Amino acid sequence: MLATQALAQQISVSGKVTSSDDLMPIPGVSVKIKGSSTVVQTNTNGVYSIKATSSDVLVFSYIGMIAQEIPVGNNSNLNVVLKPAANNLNEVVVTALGVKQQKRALGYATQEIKAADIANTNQSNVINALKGKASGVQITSAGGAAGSGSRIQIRGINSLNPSANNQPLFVVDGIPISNNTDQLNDNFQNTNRAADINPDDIETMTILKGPAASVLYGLRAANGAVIITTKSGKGGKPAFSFKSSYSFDDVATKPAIQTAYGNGNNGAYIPTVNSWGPKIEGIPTYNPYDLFFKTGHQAQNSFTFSGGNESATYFTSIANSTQDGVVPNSDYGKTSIKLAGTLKASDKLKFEGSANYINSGGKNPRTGVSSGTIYYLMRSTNTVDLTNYLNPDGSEKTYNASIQNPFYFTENAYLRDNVNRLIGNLGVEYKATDWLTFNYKAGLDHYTDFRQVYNEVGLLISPLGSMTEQRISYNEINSNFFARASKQFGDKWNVNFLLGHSFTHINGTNLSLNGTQAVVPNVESINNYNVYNPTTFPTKKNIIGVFGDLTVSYDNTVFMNVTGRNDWSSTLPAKNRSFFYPSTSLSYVFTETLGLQDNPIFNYGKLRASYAEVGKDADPYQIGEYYSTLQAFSGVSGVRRDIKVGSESLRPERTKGLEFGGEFHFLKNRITLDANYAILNSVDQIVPVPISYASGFDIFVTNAGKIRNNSLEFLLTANVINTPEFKWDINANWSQTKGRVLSMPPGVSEIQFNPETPWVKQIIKTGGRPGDWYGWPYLRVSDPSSPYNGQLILDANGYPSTTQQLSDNFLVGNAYPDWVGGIGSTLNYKGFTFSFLFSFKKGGDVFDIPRTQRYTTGIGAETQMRNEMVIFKGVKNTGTAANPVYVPNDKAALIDQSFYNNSFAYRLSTENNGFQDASWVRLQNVSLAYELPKKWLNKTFIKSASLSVTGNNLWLSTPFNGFDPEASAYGAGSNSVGYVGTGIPSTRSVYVGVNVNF
Amino acid sequence: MLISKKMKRINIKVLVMMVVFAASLGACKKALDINDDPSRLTPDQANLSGLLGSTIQFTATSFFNVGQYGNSYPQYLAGFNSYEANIDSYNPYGFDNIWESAYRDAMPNLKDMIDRAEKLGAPQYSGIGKVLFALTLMQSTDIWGDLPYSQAFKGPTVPSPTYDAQQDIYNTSLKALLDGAIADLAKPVPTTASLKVGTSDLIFGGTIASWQKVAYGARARYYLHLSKKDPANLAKAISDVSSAIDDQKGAVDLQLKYSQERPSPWYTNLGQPAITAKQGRPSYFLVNLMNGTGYFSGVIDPRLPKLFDNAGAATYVGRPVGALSTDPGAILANSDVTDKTYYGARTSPVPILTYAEMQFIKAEALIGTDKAGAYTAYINGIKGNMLKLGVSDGDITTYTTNAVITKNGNITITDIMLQKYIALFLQMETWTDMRRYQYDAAIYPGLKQPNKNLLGNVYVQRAKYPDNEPGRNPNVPKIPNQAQKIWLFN
Repeated sequence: MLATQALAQQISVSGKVTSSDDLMPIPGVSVKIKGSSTVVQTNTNGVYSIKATSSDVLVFSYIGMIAQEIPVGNNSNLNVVLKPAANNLNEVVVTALGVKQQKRALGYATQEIKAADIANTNQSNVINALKGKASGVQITSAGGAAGSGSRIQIRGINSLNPSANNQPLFVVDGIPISNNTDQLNDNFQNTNRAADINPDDIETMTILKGPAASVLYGLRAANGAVIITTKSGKGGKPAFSFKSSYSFDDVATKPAIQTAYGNGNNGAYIPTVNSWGPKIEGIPTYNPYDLFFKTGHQAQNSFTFSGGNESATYFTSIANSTQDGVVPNSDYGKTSIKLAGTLKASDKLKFEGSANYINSGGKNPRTGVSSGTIYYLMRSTNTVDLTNYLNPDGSEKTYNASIQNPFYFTENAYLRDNVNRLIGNLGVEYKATDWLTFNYKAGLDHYTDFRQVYNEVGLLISPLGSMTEQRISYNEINSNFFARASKQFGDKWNVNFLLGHSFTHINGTNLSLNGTQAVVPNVESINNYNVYNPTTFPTKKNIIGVFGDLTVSYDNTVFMNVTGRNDWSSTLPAKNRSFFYPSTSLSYVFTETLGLQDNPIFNYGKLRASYAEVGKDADPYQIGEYYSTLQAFSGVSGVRRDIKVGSESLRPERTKGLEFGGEFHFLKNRITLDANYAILNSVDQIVPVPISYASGFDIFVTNAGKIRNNSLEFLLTANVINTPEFKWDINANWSQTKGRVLSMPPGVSEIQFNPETPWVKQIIKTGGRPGDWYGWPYLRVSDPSSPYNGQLILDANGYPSTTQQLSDNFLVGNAYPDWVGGIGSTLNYKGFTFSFLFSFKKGGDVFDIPRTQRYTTGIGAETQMRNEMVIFKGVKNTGTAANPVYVPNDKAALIDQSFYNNSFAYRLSTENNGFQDASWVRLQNVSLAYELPKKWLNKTFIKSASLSVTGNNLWLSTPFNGFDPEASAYGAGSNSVGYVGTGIPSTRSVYVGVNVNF
Repeated sequence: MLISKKMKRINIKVLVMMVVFAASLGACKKALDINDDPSRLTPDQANLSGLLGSTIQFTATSFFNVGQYGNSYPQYLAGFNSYEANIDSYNPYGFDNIWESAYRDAMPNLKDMIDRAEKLGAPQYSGIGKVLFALTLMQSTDIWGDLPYSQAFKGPTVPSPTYDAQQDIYNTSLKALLDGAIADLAKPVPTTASLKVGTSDLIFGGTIASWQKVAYGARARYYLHLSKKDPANLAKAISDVSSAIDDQKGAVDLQLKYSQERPSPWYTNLGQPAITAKQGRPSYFLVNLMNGTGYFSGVIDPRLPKLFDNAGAATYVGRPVGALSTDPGAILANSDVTDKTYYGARTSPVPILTYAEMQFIKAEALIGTDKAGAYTAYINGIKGNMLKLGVSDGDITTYTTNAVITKNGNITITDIMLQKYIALFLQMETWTDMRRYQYDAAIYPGLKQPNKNLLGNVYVQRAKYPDNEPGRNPNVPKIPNQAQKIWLFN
């Protein structure tokens, strides 16, 4: 009874709370008298002081640590050591708006990536650090060029629009930032803007995978969201850290060439691009790929300085990375300076802010489908030394006028870019009462990208020379305000209610000046041209949103959540610009109800389900008809109507997602399993539908079409051995996403999903899947009753043939994988840490554009078989077309230059001519680190130091023959997956690094 | 409850205020009405003058595009690649480049200009628009046959227009356009400045009389095309020629003259020195007509050095059509279209309708009834073309008094058609002529099928439909191959 307790003498109890991990004091630990509302917190030195009686029990709790209850008894001094909870059941995850939530409360799938796992990869582009780690997430880089961009896609394409943004929203410290790629064209591998982030600044990264997870960010997170929080300093003595690494990068995988036959045609020597010449005898042979690619290096250095006291914390980081590419005359550099801090003005009022300045850019080599560095490399022969490429007068020495020497080309055609970026935010949190908090944050993301594309006079692509100066500027301002009420009703019920408002303003300019017909060669200035063509593409967009989120939980076991959001977007017609979308989710930790928390076999099981809708708006300026002016002709300017027209009744797109999943822990959290199944329907797609030119337009932007994606994801972790001396963890992920087109815009039977190439097309049709490849397969017997079913039908001359009806397209494959996964493991023994990660991809056909070049020019190792008669395995038709009679083929056919040429001649069969299965097993990452023993460092000012050796992409096993099949030809900003080979090939890297904390 | 009632009221008020604040912000119209692209024009800002400037350029481009590769069909140029899959061997070819320049660029903007002109009362604009539209449509239907027209250019409400029969295009649509053009151009010129044709007329600078002559010339060409179906059209053609282009030096020819900054597309794509491997080289058939080894035996045509560059060789030799570089005769070819020739030069024009063509139409129409009149027109046509190309008066006289050319007044249809062939070099109108006579060996002596003929042993009759049309429009007619004749010649 209160009266009785009031009589007991209250003493002052104090003590220090430290962590069992590093024996350091923990500030902010909650020390509560059990059964009362009296609670204090430890200060920056981990010290607390509380008035209690001897019969009170003190509860010590801190997020991420196992709570302890200690009776006061006779002690006036109680020191406590808290242990961090491995596989913590009270694990906290940062979700939308920077709100920390208990993982158990989430009714949808998320995955957290530890900062250490990101930093260990030494990848400068944070997206590349995720490769193989996240289930349901596919990362594709545009290649191995220095500064090359990468593309991240969560759970599949959900838009029929070939140029729609299918990538998730990037959020840093609660404020969205741009991950634009501003892809210039398919000649360069432009950097995606999220690569500007310094990976060492990251404290946590959470991937929110579906609409339910991202509904609080509104329409920009329709494809999921990557939530990043950056370090903001901890209380205590100032801490410094220094990290340095140096890498050796190589092109690992190169296609095999033949060195039996040399330069020429039809067996005779001619200085042509082809290697169909005579047998090589007595003259040196060269491998063009070995000659051309060099070892690149990347040096990364970063320095951080952080600290604070009980009122304020700060974090400063300075990082620089410089990369020298594997292609001559290519490089990339990045410098990032960050300042962040928090300020506690009072018990109720807290400020936080951060400013990050980044400068990045470099020189990017020019590639392409029908010209460019790799194209010319493909068309080099094996008896010419490419490194000897300059005449004494400095002009190009080439053995054939229709190709460029690749070394000469990289020196005379390239893109320079220079990005200056400022990301800043300022936030305030006000605890009005103990159950009501107001939060406001405003952020700015501003960058400028100055680019120059230079093409020297006399190049095949620009005989008269050309140059483009491009000025891109991007401004994004976000303002987020929300109020959060959290109330406990009785022992069991807890209600959290959030109400918020957000405003996003995006303003971009893109001014491009193209000059052609140089006055004088060798002058890299836009002044030096005779003909100019300026274009500009401004964009402006405003989005206003209001949202509410209600979570009700019972006994910390059952959680129910309902959200609603209404967005207003300026890019839709006024009558359709407001749209509302709700979501709901349910999560149930059934093991608590069954009292299994202490069960040695199965101690945690949670089931979850959610349904969510997310809307998506259009790009700016899509509505209606526009006219443009033409370049002046003899002083007269013309005006023409644009060929793209947008529907005046455009509606927002909608993605509807239904998810089921569960999380299960076994053997006292030693093994955890997370499983998830999601069905996403995207309807009312905003698609630029290609319509007949005879309608007067080329493209009609309208709502049309429906795509469904089914995604199955698994995540497994196992703590195999866990002794103080030796720890061994394994983690694995596996996911499968399948998309299907349910309906198409009316009147449109198919949409070509890619830039056209003569050989294959990616086409979307009703009933088909995104990424479907169409081409012309060889004729085969298609009669199930025939014993020859499926065999090749050879023509009268013994050669395979195609249908030759060029207007007919046949489904020949799909560019998306059947499934992807990864297996990783970490071993800790004393100071050594050894970890590795394998990533797997099964399925996914790619079209290797240069492979046709290797066949036609006769340099590919496959063409070494030549000038031979072969009998193709298959059948021939001795009957008629109407009544075929198949007998085994016995006609010998000549395999010669003409055969290899003609099988790739304009529009003939794509089967085997470029399509390959690009399944792979890849050693994504392996690293060995050694932490210097603390006793060596006791006398020094160094707190901890470690050395590491890391390898990325060291080993690849794939049936694909060519360069690494990962490098996408059309860049990080494009949806066209599956075209490979024209960009700079992917590299493997070995890093050596040192990390010091003091 | 541990919360005081007062606190509760205050906090509820705060909550309500927030909701209202949020909702009012949400409806802020000014922040959301920003979706007009400032870098482009709205339909109200487009004007007739601007549309004329662009449609003339698009029309001229389409008259280049049609011959860019198509010129191997009338065998003006022979392909130069060493692969077999050449257009001049009748490998399937869809003329995609004019599907773009004619249907996507020229015609919708011409229709826009005509509609605006009729609404605003600017008959000269609509007249010029109709002439250009008729010429472009006529060229297109001669290439493909059935085409969308009556259901075309209606925007996204009709995304897949049906294809009109060529018969209807010729008998109804083209007739309406040409008659309408002539009528409109004859109407009085309005007084308002914005409705008058001015400097944006890149061809005639606003001289309506010239456009009237062009309109009659276009209709003359139209009647000539229909003359196979009904020879009564020949008389109408003659009548129109008398009102058509009449300046022998070519001052009223319908052509766009290019400039230093905007070079001629024949220069950019074929003639310029940087292009060392020419994708098309003058054919044996054409060159033989001019070097004395063909039908005009022993006569060296003074136009040879104007049209072709043989790098100073003694004679001019053309290239066989549809031939590999290893075929006999291929290696001997020495003539090219370079920037030293009339059509390959930087500032050369792309002719659409010329004086010479008018005269040859007249000659062909009169040959059956008025031999003298036909002969006069024939000589006028040759002279007109030679003056245009800059041949000297002396050379003109020598050539036009040579008996092999004059036949002493007794010319035949063969003479007329072959001289027309030479005069219309690089114009695809010639292909229509050849199909009108179905490549008759008597009319075109010396003409041979391509060395490698992928259609078998027949001449090509039409184009296939453009590649991107079947995927977008289910109404595209299915034709078996390019040997099937179009209605005009059936």
